[in-house]
Amino acid sequence: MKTAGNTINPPGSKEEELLMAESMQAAHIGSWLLDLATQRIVWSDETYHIYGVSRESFTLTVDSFLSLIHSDDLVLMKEWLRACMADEKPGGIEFRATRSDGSFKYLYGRGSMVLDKENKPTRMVGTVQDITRRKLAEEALRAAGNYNRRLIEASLDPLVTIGPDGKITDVNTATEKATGHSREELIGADFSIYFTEPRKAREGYEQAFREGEVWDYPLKLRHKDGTVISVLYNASVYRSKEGAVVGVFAAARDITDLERAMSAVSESEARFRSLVTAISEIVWTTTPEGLVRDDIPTWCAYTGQTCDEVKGSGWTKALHPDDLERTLAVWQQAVKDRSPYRIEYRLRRHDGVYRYFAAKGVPVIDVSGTIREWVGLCTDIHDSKLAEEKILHLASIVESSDDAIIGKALDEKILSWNLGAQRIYGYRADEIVGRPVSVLVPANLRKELDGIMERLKCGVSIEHFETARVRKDGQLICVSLTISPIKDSIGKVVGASTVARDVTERRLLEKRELMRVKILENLTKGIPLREILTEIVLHIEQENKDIIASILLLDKETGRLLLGAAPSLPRFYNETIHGMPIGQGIGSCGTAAFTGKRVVVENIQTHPFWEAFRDLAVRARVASCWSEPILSSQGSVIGTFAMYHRIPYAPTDRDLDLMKSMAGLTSVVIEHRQAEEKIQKLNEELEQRVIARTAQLESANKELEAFAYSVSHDLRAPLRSIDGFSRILLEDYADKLDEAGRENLQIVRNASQRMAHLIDDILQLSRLNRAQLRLLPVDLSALAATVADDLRKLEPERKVDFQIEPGCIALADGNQMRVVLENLIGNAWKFTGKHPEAKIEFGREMRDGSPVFFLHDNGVGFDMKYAPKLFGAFQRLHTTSEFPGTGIGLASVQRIIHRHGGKVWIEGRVDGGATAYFAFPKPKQNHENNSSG
Amino acid sequence: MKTILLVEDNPDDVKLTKRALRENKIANELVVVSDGVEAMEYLAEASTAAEEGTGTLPSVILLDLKLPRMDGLETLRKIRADERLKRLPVVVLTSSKEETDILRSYDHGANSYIRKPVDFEQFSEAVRELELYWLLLNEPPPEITAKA
Repeated sequence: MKTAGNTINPPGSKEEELLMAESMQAAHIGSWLLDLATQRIVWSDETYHIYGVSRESFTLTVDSFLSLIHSDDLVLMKEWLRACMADEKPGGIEFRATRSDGSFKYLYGRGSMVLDKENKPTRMVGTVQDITRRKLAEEALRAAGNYNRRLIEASLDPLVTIGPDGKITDVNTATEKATGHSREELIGADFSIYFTEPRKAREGYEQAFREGEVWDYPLKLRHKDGTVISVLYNASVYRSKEGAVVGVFAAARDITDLERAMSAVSESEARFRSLVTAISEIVWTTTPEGLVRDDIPTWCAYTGQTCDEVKGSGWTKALHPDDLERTLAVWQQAVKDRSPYRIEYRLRRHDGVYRYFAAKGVPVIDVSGTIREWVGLCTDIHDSKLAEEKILHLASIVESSDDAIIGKALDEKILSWNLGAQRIYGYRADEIVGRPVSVLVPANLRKELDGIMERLKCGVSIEHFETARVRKDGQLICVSLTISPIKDSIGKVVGASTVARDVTERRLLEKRELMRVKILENLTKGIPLREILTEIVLHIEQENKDIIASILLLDKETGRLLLGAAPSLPRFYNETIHGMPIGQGIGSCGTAAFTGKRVVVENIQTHPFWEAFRDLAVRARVASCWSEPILSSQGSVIGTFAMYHRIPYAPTDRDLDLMKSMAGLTSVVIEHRQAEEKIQKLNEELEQRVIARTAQLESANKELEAFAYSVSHDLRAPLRSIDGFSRILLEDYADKLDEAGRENLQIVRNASQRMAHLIDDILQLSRLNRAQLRLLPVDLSALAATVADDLRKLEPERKVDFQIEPGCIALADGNQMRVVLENLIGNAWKFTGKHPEAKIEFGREMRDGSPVFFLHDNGVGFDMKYAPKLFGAFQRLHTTSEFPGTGIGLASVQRIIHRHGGKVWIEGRVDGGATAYFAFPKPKQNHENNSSG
Repeated sequence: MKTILLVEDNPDDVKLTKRALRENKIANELVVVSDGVEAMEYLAEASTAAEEGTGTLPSVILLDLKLPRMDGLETLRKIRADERLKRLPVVVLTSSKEETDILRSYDHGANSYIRKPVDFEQFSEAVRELELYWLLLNEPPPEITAKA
């Protein structure tokens, strides 16, 4: 088998065989021959090539051939060879052949038997073809298909394919899970029915078909069990090999899960960030020149700068602008001096918050003495820094306090001493710290201090305790103390803090205020002026033992000063001053009273105002005298308030203020007393006048009563005689009198009787004035009914229609209201006398919210122009023969109503009836109380 | 015979009273005194006489208030203060109807208070009724009638 052509004994011509061999070689098809008798095998060159062995090195036998076959395909090959030899015509075989390098090839072999004349198989011929490329492509294709399917199935997202008719053609497991329907149920069903909005779902895949794809299409997928999940669909069309669209591939994404996942991510991110934040130490390195070269991840993580931003001097951009210049200066100085770098600055965190950091750095120096690099550390000191600032702040508060704030140990040793303490007690801190607190306590109050310390040891605080203390200069001061125990961490009392306030001034003012109050009280108690003034003077002298005070009063008429109060000046001095005229240059007080301005004489012996009184001053042992004029509220001088000293003395502002305020107080006292006297005088006058008036009134009343008595007794008696004797005359001398005489006598009798009536009426009127009013609720309706009844009984033949509104109540005097109604109803009765259908009405109407009572009749009425005359005594609008009466009735009514404080008026017209109105004042709130109580 | 004591200073009124008594046919003895002093003198004598059985006390005293020397109220007070006279019926007969007069009269123990009307007819009627009441209807205290 040297050449391929020769190895085979082909059935056709040699040319044909050659051609055949050529073409087979071109087609990379190898050929072979097996002699069944000898078991010899012949291969063409191509066959050798296909099997990857060479003609020279490979001894071709059946066994060596079989050794080339892939072990997995060996059985297959043997069976094929048997089948071929049995002439079962098994067709082609696909098998793998192993190459010497271990790789294998896919081969395709064919074979057929060559028969001799007796139809016995003599040899087998066949071809072999390398199909590896095709086979691998196929394999790859198949594997890829499996892989995709697995991927699809493994996807957590529901995936479906949809046909052009909208029917589902395939689904994955996730879709089954999401819908709750099985694959079998889903395939063939309409895609849209699994959504809350089928129309929208349909529009979605239609859009995909139309446009090729749809992205993030929101839909709500409904599970079989009713739950709904929000999904976003991505869909795209897929096509056949020919490029025709055959369906839509749609993938849903459950957003709920996505959101959950998103939040999980951001949570873990936040956790990471906080972790970074928590790591407050930043380690850094720089070049010997102080420039950042290497990444500083901790810095970046903290500041949020990128590593590149930090490089060089970029890190300074994360510093607080206010700290930048200083930091740079210190850093550059450290680099220059090769000395350790140490600074505090504010560093901006990634979220923009600045926090205090302490930065430290040292140069790393190698053996040659040159700086290799700088290494350093930045530490977050923010919280401790703030705490420190707070402490500093508190300390500055303590230091700046006006109050003394003192710390002391339980053994009374002073531990701390602020500026306030220095101001109040006079000691500097370095003079007093370490000394016992008792140096501040007056000797007589030692026991009090012991008591305080005892209480403190028991943990009891003391608040606003007022006591006395000694200043460094020995002066006693009043202080208000608040002392609190200081406890250690286990609650044991280890010392005390004392807050002391100097209340000396306050005490002084309190005392002065008390004095002021006492003075004003005494004023109202009617204590004599001289005593009150003495009290003022003594108070001032007690408050300041160096002062001798005096109050002089100015007598306006004579222009002289009179002694007010000067209890501490000698009598001879006061006697000399008393009656001293005022004028410019006449001592301090004389000048002050004259000019109305304060006079300050610091040294009597040298001051010109005192020229005439120097000896007097020497004898009285006074050396300085300041005088403040006491001014009235109208501004006129009413006296002087003076303060003397035993030695020449210049007043402080406080002295002058005190003097002025005392002058003011004295002015109030004097003016008040003057006003009081004036009021008393007025009161006395008033009382006198009241007494005189009352006496006048009483005598007038007595006169009136005597008059009434006399009238009622004496005026009537002659009338009785006139009437009686006229009657006797008429009777006894009837025969001697003619008709005219008898008529005349009758006239005399009538006149006398009328006179008697008039007297009675005028007496009644005067009685109304004198009688005491007793105000009680009066039922006017009932009263009117009684009066009406009386009238009916008196003249039963009269027909009068009485209409009385019930429940007319007034607060009035019942007896007098009876007189009123008798008169008014009597009048109405009288003046309706000629009316055939007389009508009298009593009632009440409201005017301006108050009741007005009225009595109306339909009688003859009157002309309103006479209305003002109606109420005059003895005023009549009709003749006696028309209507009888004395004309005193309405006068009485008016008198009564007026005495009640009310109003009465009458309206009417001729032949139109008349209406009398009366109203009472609104009862005051306490009126009823008075009458009921 | 029952006696009436009239204490009245006005002679006109005395005359009118007597006329009224006469017109009313009252025949009882009318003793007239013109003031309180006289009245008390008369009553002192009358009570003595009554005790001795030689006379009687008046059955009623008609007492005017406004009188010279001793007025009506004072007289009334004296009568009521006198053991022998205190039960005598006293009718105040006066011109006044002042409330104070009325109140004081009763306060002092007047048995009645009559105002003299100006109209003689009315006056006469009042006198008649007085006589009828005090002399006929009224049962006097025993000291007046005992020895009568």
